[in-house]
Order: sequence, then structure tokens, then C-alpha cells
Amino acid sequence: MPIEKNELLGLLTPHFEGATIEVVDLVGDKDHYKISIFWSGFSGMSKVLQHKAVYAALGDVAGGKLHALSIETKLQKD
Amino acid sequence: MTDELPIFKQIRADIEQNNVMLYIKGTPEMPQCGFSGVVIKILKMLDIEFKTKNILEDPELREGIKIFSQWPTLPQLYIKGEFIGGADIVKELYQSGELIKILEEKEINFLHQKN
Repeated sequence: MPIEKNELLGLLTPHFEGATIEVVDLVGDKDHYKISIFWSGFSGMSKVLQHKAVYAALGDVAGGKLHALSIETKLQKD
Repeated sequence: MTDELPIFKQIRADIEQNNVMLYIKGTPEMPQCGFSGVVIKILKMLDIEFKTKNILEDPELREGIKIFSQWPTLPQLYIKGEFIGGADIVKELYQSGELIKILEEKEINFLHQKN
């Protein structure tokens, strides 16, 4: 189910204070997104926990609504 | 801790009896989703023996696995009973060489062709 890019940003921003967040509509149908989050707050967290934090921020958007979601998490942008 | 679902018993049996257990949409021969296909390709490239379950054939498993792992998407890869991640993480681990380390640590046979 399509979702607006700004809605994704609205869900993510409050959870990752000061992060750089990039949301890319991969196919142009608002249903296949790649989310990249560069956030110092990830330090010390395993990759699984980093991604779980993103899933938590997205709520049911990740598990059901969106058709496809790719997630990238890093401490800072290379 | 999340409350116990009947399907958890089956999931525990799967991940304990199979060194490398992969829950996917579809089958290795016919993955029904690109992300599942990515993980299958990586496991095949490393010549790893792995078992799969097609969650599309089992709605109870499809929902139960997400609650069990607290991970809302498929595929889900488990090695020696430990949740490793979904497609993004497995791909990252493979590209960084981390996956090889995990396999070695967990004594999983694999073949790493130098391409």
C-alpha cells in the first residue's frame, strides 16, 4: 500500500534526534522505499538492533503496509 | 517477554534442528520475493547447506515468526538458533566479510570461491 515519503520522514525523525535520514522511492510507486539513517546514536548497537529501532519507529508501516522496504543504518555517512 | 504462541514450539524446533534455517516467501527454486531471493543466492554462492520454510504456505507461521523474532519482515535467517537478520543485513554481512566470520565462529561448512 503506497505511502507518502513525508509520512515516513515524519515517523522517523522524532526517533533519531540529529540523524541524517534519506528516503528514496525506488520504483516511483510510493510502495518500494529505501531508508538510510546515519546516526551517531547507533554506536554500540548491533545491526539487528539498529534495524529494529527503525522498524519500531515505523510501526505497522514496515510489517504490513509497505510492499517493500530496504533499510540501511550507519553511524555516519561515508 | 512476548507471550508464548503455539507456533513458537515449531519455530524453536526448526532453528535448533537446522544449523542454517531460512524463512522465506516461496522456495529456493521459486522465491516469491526479491529479498528472499537475495539471501538464497548468498547461501548458494557460499555452498552452505540450509533448510527453508515457505511462510506463504502457513499463515500461522507467517505471523508467528514475526512475533517470535520481533522482526516484522521476511526473509529471516537463523544460524545455530540465532537470528542473524533479513535481506539487508545478510547482504551487508556478506559484502563486509562479516558473514564468513560468523560462519567460522559457528562452525558452519561453506565454500568461499574467490571471484
